[in-house]
Amino acid sequence: MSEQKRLEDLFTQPSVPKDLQTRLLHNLEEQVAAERAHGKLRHWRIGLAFSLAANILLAVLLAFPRAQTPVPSLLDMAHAHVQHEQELSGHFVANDSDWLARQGIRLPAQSYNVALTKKCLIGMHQASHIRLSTAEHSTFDLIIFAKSSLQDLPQAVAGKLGVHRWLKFEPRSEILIFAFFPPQISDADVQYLIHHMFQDASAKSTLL
Amino acid sequence: MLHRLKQEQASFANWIEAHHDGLYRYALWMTGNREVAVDCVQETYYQAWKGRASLKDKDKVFSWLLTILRRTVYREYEQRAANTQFITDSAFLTEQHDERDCSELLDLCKAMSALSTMHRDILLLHSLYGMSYQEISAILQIPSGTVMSRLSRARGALEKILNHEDLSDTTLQIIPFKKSGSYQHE
Repeated sequence: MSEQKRLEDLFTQPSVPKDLQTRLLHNLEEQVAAERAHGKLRHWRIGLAFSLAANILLAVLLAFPRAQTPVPSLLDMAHAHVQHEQELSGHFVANDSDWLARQGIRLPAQSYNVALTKKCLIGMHQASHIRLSTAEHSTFDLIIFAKSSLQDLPQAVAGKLGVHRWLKFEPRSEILIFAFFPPQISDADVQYLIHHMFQDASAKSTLL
Repeated sequence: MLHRLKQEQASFANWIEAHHDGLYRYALWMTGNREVAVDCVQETYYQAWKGRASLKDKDKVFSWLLTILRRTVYREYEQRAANTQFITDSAFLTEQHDERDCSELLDLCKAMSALSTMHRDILLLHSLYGMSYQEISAILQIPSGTVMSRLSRARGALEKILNHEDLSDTTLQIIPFKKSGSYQHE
């Protein structure tokens, strides 16, 4: 046997403690058990953290009720529509003079021009939009709704929105009108105008 | 996740069975102490399990374990630098060894203890594990040429000790780790 081979043989001679493998396996089991326990603890801690966070959030929400986002009223929507169409002019209802006549609506005196007639949808409610202009180039807009499509009728009858004054009218049982006009036009003038236009109380409006 | 843990545990148990004896013998020859060698092997498997994610190639498990063991053995040296350890017959012998084996084994043990740590290490990698120069190069992170020359010097030193040293004392003061060049026989 060569010296090298003898050396290699001698190196492998020392015996290994009989219980070494058992000890190592036991250590491994302890490590695995510790890891499992740590994993469970970690999951428990994560679960607890989420639960606490959810409860804290719920407590905050209950303590500070969420501010209600105001639902725009019919008035607000009508006003927004008027502003949206302020640049629009024309007669979008065919033969609108006949149409108005069929509604029993008397056009105002010559000092007023019909600048716009249009059917529109405001807040899922069908409506008619009529704009009149004066000789002084002031305009005022009428938004006419069918009452039958409205659930909550606005209580107020007058007010101010933005640069406009507004008045609410119910000249006929089946319709509700919002009139929007600049402050230089008086409420009395508008009331007189509406009264004149819808003076035929018995007429049935089929504006919509 | 539990299933994966069980699979990993099973693999580790196989690695314990396959390699614990080889790792122990390396630790024993390096430290000269049975209990220290056992501690080093236990620490090795403990660290290996903790860092098992770092094992990229399962075909190189033994090299990976040996790397951890060597780090553990050298750390053991740093912690016990001032200590010397006495080696006796019982550290290396069992009742299975015959008289000739006992004598040769003890002579080898004493000769190895007289070598520097570096020479001891490379001799074990080559002669205990049968590693090639390339494999030793990968373990020690040195060029193959350096492995060859270092191994040659280690063999020469060991031979000189075995042939010329008076190794008749049955006990010998073992300094587990010695720096290269600190012993006249190197």
